[in-house]
Amino acid sequence: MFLRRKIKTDHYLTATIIISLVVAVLIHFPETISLFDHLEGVTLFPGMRVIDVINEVVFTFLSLLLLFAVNTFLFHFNRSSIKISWKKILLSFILTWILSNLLGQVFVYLHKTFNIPAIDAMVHHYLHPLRDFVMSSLVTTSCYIIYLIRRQQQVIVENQQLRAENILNQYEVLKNQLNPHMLFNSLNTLRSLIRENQDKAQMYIQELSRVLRYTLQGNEFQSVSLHEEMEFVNAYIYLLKMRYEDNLLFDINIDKKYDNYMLPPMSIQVLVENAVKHNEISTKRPLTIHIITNGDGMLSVSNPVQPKLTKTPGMGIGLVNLSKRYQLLFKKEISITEDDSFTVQIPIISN
Amino acid sequence: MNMKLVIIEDERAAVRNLVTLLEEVKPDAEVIAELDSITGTIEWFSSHSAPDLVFMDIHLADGSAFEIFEHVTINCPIIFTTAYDEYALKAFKVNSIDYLLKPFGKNEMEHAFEKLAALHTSTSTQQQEDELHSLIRMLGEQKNYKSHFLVPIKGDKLLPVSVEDISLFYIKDCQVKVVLKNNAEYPFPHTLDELTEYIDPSLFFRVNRQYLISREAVKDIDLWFNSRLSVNLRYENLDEKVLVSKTRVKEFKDWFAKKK
Repeated sequence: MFLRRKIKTDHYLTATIIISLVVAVLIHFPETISLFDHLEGVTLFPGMRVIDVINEVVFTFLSLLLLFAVNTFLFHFNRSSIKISWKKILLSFILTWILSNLLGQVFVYLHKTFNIPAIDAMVHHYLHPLRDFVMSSLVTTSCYIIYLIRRQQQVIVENQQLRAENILNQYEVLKNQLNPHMLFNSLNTLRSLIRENQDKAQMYIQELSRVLRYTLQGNEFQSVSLHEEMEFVNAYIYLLKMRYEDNLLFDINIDKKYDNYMLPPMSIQVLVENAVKHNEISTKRPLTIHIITNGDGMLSVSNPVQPKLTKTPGMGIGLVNLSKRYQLLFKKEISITEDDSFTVQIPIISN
Repeated sequence: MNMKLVIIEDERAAVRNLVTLLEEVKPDAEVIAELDSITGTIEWFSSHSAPDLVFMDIHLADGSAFEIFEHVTINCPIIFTTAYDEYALKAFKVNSIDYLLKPFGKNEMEHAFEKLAALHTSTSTQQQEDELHSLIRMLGEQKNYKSHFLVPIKGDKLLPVSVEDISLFYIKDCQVKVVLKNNAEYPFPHTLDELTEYIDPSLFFRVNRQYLISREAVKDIDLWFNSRLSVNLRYENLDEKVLVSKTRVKEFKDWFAKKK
């Protein structure tokens, strides 16, 4: 990428040099022709020498380069990442025009004071304002065209990147939905249940299916009612309780009046999953997770902080996603606090 | 003589599974301890002599089982168990370590014992120990990188932030700051040295003592005196030049050009 950027910069420089050179030569086309045409040389440009024309071309070339440089420096036409408005283009044109006039004056001054060879013919002087206009138009237009081309290239590259990122994201979402670690652990639990208690095993299969179905359908709806979410969370909790038995406890207090309030699907599940993932759950230190609605339309999931000795990787991935989903869907923020207990409060939205 | 076994596993149902299977496959085996945490395991192994075999789940109640080896040496064969763990599986395959994937049954268990016997005769204890160490190192490397941070904001609130959304970290007035891609800036509770360890070095580069930057933070780069580089950042709220020292220039270019 470093290299590509460098090459691009070089292209910009080469393009401006080539344009300046071509314009400088073409704009003195009449003079150049009349050098080879004796009659016109005498009538239109009396007393003009070859050195005069060369000097004019060289000075125009240098002026153009300077104009390009000023434009690039002031308006950053070489940066495809910035936006260039019509106002900027107009400003660039006017500025270039004024500057090109001034440069012409400088050349005349140099010519008069230091006797630097230049064309003295009247026609040449009459043509100057027109030339300045043409030159500044060309500089501004080519700057803008180069900018547009680069911008288009950038859009193509960005689109490709976006596509790649989307695919990667979809893959991550799918993998997270299925959560292989949880799935295989559940199957292992099921294995022991089949041997020990077949009724429970059947029940477990029902709840596991419910969880899987909900997770797979999860992205079909952007929001679900608290009632639906809690049905799923209860199934999820059932699976967890079978795994952790008496070491994992739940304290659930949901006010019935919030049943029809909406929230993003799997948001409570993500918070429960996080609590289980990041805290010690053992016979010595059982964990209690509280799921509570409080008066002001917020639902909080909290647990005492029982840090593991080694941090579980992926800290916060669920929280980042949840927070983004809340911003996109409801333009609301979730609130995360940590002291002795870790609490996440999520808004539930009335219909 | 009875085979003495220790089971390290934090789920009761999984322990019962294991015990019942052992009764079928190795009736002469005797489970002398069932442990469910890192701390419990460390305590047990520092006060008892090593058993003949250990079954060890990777995810324990208080963290990753590999932490155990930082504190005690276990001088006996180990069969690791796990439900699903991409990194661990990769590491196991490279290091020919014995492992069982949950849920496992009689056949898998028998197979594991056969593999264990084969490993035992074909390789020395030293070799096995080396393999275990390289396994732990592999897992350690891959697991330390954080993908997300909780950044404290406004009193006791925490903002969940994905590493992808972070533009750079830098030191201002002796305080580490994190700058997000949306140009928001917050004080950050870790030092840059710590961060260099937490964060995937392919994503962030320590250009100098004050700056740890992502590729996306770079607007453009100027060549500077003394073959250094001056990095212009997209974040414009900085009063000083970000210079890459002469010795780090090559490393910086390599890092920048490398694909993720």
